[in-house]
Amino acid sequence: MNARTKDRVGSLLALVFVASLAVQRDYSTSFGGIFPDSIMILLVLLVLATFVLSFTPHAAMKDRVREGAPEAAEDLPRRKPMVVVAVILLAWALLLRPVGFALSSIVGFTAIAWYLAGERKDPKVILRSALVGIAITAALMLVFGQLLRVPLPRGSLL
Amino acid sequence: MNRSLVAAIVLGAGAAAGIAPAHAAEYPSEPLNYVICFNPGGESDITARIQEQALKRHYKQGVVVSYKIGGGGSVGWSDLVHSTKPDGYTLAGHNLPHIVLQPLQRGNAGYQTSDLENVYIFESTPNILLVRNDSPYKTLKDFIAAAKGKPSGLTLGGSGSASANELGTIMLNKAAGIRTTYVPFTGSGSAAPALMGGHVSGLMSYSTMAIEHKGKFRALAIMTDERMKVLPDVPTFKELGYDLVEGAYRGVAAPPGTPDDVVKKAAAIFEDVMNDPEVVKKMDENGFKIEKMGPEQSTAFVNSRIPLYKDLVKDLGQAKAK
Amino acid sequence: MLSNLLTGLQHLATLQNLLLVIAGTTVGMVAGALPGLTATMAVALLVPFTYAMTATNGLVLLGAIYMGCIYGGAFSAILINTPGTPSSIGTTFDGYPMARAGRGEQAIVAATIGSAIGGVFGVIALIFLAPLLAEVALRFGPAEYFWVGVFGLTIISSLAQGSMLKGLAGAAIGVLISTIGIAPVGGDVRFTYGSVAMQGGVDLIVILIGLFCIPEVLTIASRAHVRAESLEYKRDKGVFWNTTKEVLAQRANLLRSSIIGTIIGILPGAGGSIANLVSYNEARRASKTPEKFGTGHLEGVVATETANNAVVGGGMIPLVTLGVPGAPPDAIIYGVLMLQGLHPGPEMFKERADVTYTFMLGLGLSALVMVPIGIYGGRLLTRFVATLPKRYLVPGIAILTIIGSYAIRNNITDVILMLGFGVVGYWLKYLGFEASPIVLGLILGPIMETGLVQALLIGQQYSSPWTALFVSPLSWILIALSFLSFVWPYFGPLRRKFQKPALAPRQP
Repeated sequence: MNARTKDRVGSLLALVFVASLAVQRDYSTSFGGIFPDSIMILLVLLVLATFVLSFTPHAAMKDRVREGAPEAAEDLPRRKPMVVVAVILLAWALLLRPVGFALSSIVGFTAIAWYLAGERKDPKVILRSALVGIAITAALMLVFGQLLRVPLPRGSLL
Repeated sequence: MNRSLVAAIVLGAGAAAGIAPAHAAEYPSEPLNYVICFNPGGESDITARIQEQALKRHYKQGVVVSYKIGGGGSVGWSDLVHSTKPDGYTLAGHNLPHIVLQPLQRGNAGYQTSDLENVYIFESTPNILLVRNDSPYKTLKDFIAAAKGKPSGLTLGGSGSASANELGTIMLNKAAGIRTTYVPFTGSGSAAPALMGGHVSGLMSYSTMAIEHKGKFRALAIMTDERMKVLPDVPTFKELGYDLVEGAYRGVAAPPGTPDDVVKKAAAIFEDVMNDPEVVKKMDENGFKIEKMGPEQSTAFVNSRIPLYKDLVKDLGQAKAK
Repeated sequence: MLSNLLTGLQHLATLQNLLLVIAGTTVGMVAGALPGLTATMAVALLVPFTYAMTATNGLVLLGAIYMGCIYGGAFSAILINTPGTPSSIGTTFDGYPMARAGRGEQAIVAATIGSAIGGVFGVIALIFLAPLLAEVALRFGPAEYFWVGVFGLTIISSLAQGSMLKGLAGAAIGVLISTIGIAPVGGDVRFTYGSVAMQGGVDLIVILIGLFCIPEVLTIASRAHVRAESLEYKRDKGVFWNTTKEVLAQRANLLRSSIIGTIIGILPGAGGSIANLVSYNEARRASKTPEKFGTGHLEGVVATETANNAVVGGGMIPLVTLGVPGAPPDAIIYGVLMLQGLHPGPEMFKERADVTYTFMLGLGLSALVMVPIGIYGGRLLTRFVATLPKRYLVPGIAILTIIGSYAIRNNITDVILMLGFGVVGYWLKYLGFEASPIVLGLILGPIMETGLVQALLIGQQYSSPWTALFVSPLSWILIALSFLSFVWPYFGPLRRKFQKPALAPRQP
């Protein structure tokens, strides 16, 4: 994506966000809306300006300069590991309620550690990942649950 | 009311059928999780901290004060109602008028007043009208006269919106035929500097603040039936001819469906805690008024306040910003 | 005063109190370094430990925890790009790039020396200027707070890398996120997307962890296959003394940041989260090399960490004199004072002077104790993070983010929100919307809204309530400062253009 496209996509996303707030406008007191409403208007103006400016010849020229620059060829971070890790994290968080902190963390930690081990995915690696996962989870549960007395989720299914 | 009634019937039936949890007889045999729904350092938190030591004598496995903050308490109460095991080992501090006003005012507060199983109401902090020590208003009469002189000119700061402080201001406005503007702050603590700095004309605050800032503020009148022992020089509104009694009441509630005998045992523990001389001394020192309302009494009290609050709710947030 | 100080020193110099200072500082540092455990939470969670203690011991311990916690936030900011507490947001800007360039230890030394100096400065102001400075705090009413918020927002003009428009848009997005939940004034339920959990609003910590940490975790994961990693560790023997000398040479920066931290600490409602950003902005503005900020520049780390620890002493000033907490953790300390029957005001400096002065000196001592513990612990931690295999580092940070976002409000929804913000944050960054303006908006939003609406309510007496925003001279000073701060970055290049030709003729 070049900078102009980024500006346009970003502007549209921001507008969607404002719209999602605007449809919920329902103030029961006379001063609940003053502040958010003014900021919404401000954001819409800023975003429109960004959007419009991305169509100027100046913006197009800047992009052409950038495309010629060497850093344009900079290696993009590999997408797949990011998506996989993000999905594991989400599953980890969603598991908190049903199975509790201990189990979900051990599973989540092991899964990520095992996945990132690259080619060497033999049972030994799983075992080692799981052991580290259990140790870290236990240590954190000791600090938060026992020392600081923060009640960690226990899991409604267990 | 309905839901707790149904819950009570179901539980009663369950108990009759002999499926009541066996360990209920030994309550308490687990640590107590005492949930505070307001910021640490506020009145609810300080009360819990005062009670904690005495509670530990009953909950031998320990007492954990934890925080579930947000929405003026609604996030914690909603959680108590919907996702807390009703075993009596998780109790949340609750607060009147909040638990009545929120469900009345908001489309969905996440809980109904009747969902909360009242265990005990242990304290109140009566509303008190405070001005600065160097203020020209020496008495309530001065204040009301000044307010009559400048329509909508006087401002009263207080803790929060739809709180006892705001209700107190509305009640005073109605009773005295004046129009002071209520300015809500985020907690009684943050309202105090606004008065010290002269940004508001006075505070509709709690008795605790009158004690804490004795040297800086003058209390004009207090919304209690009788004068408070710790504030012997402060007249009541009643004495001065305005029948106003209002304040915030705090207690603990259990999730709906908590077995009756567990609620009773928990209430007995709190009753005992509130009789502890050390607790009584600290409550007094800090300006809390001790109340002792068990489960039935506090439920009856909450229900008796509902019509009164319903009446006042339409006056909330009335001041126009434009 | 002097005799009180001596009494305090005498009380502090007992083995018990010294051990409490050391223990408290260490515990605070650990808590501060854990993302999600803010100083407020850490102090609140540890209050029960003080029940069995005397007033003096309890206060000394809590003060040390607070001091250590604010400093500890720098570790995670530098090493994993996650502000351990909101007070260290600005530390990520230059600290993390330094760590990535293998200069993590240098960043930590700079943060340590800055924190110690800022901490001691705040305590000195507390001991000697408390009654005088407390009066300043009272001058700030609702209208003035609104303008403080506006002034804070002008920092964007130097935070925004690239497009100013996008920086402002980011800040507006942050402000709007801050309006989710119950309105601070009036109690309106707003923008909850139908969820009761959202009535509490979106917690700053949840966003901080999401926007700063998750994108970094994902990026590290994507590079896990590369052997030579960005977070490398270069052994450097003289790093402590060299860095210390370099930090101490920045006298203006240290002094300015300490003053900013102390003053923002005094203002009730504003705390380290604002102080560190303002100080960063001012350091950059005063610097001869503003363009180096954000690329791993030592001055940036020194500015933020000096300011946030100066907040500790500064925030105590209105607390001990007026009973008004200056920063959120002070509210907990206030609660403890009340439990112990200590009433803020003149009484604390006369009848209870022994307790008060021991407490204040204990705070100062803990700022000094941070140096050896921090340098040693920081070295271990830097090496640990740098040499830890990435396949353990990624889930290790992940588990901290999860437990941190949960612990702040004991709410599972917050964990899911945090991850959501993380993924969205990654895309926003890709689209050119940086995390820092969004976070700034989120911090300042409630201050601005509360100030604005309260001012409008107070303004009922004028024909237009908006007049209330413009009546006090202090408001006008803040307006002028905001304007100057906003346009300054545009003047910078202009000024240099004028200066260069003036210098040129001197060269032979």
